[in-house]
Amino acid sequence: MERSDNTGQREGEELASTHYPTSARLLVAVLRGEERAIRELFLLYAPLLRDQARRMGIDSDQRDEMVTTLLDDVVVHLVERQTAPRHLSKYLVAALRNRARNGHRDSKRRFATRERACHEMARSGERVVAESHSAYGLSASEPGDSEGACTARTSIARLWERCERSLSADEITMLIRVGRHVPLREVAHQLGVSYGAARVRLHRLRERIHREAIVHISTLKPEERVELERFFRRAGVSLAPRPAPRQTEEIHGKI
Amino acid sequence: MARFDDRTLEELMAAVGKEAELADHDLAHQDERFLFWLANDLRAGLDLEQRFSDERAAAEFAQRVVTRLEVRSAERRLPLRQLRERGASVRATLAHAVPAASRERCATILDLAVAAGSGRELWDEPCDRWLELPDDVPSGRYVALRVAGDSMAPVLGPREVILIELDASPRVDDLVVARLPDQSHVVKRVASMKGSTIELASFNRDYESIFVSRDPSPVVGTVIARFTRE
Repeated sequence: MERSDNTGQREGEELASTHYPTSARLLVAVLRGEERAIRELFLLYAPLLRDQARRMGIDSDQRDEMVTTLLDDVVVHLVERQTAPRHLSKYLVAALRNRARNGHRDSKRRFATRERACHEMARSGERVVAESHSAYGLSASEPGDSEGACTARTSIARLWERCERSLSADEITMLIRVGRHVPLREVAHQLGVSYGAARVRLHRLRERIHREAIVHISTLKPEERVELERFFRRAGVSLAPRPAPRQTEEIHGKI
Repeated sequence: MARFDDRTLEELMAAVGKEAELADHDLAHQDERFLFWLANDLRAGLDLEQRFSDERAAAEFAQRVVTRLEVRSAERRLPLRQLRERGASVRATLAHAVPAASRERCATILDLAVAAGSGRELWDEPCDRWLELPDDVPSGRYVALRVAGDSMAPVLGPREVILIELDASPRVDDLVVARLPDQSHVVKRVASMKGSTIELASFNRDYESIFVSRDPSPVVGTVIARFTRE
């Protein structure tokens, strides 16, 4: 999570509010649990989050409830942890995106479980059981998990520090866009280069990151490596490098 | 040179890209400014009906969130404990039973429910049940009371038992038992202490706050534990 220890000093964006003239002051008041500030926060961000929910394809009859529940949980989280996100709008939109994605994934899983249970019930007489004790739920609630994710994040951050020294501003921009899964044609447009040139640059960037990653991962301790593999487990990746192919690799844009 | 497979490299690139994004404060700030502008623009674009609807929703939302925060705070400070109850060694009114119970590390339980909503007289009630004090509670003058009414729900439900430390100095957010001017007693949360007035609030928003004078202090004691109902 993004944190700031200087909320009091940053003034943030200007607000059209007599009580809280800037977003930073609004956030400080929210952290104090002031009812008026929480009300202002809802008025300011509910329309944005509803709009974002619409763009994410969430049904109109679910949007209001989803946005309200999200804001409710976020405010409680911020107040109880006394955490101030550095960029509140980005933080809220990212939280909504995560919730929408999790909701979508859970509904698909629920549907698949129900379907499977119904089919199997006809053969085996098994009952449909609640999902509250799924393997994922149990593993996610293990206290060690967040620590592992933290180790993996630290490791990735160190890899980024290695790469940063050798990358130009355009390459960093490209890397960020790639991280966001922006289409390559759009990245090319943003960089002001042709699609072909962007493909070449992306290929070179991939090679550079590849080299740095091989060196970096070889320096990791076994437990750090395990944590990193766990971090990527759902993507099904393997951090064990394979021998290089003999023929020259073709230039290709993956994004 | 050894190589990662494409999938691994793609995931690593995405993860490194995310780290780069977090480290790029200018870019993050631009995104934030855009979203903030969009939030204001969307808010300004609401028609009158939507604006009224949002105002109503925001007021309800803020009230609900504040209550939720208060409830969670109280539940954290007063975790539910197992009730250990026994017969009283001395049968007397509450006023006389308190010192005797204190000597045996107990607190008198009043079968008369302290009305969480309407309030009732306490001190002249006879009590024949004692609560054994939990080990972590220091010796002192305590009274245990059974709550009635739903004004303090969901923290205190009907028939739940609360342990009150007598003569304690309450602070804002504490749950207290207070004597009202009509001599009745209530259990409430101290919402504020401004000037010569104490605001006693309920968790259940259907009940309005009670304002009482600080002098003489209406607070009988502070709730320090709650116990599961029998």
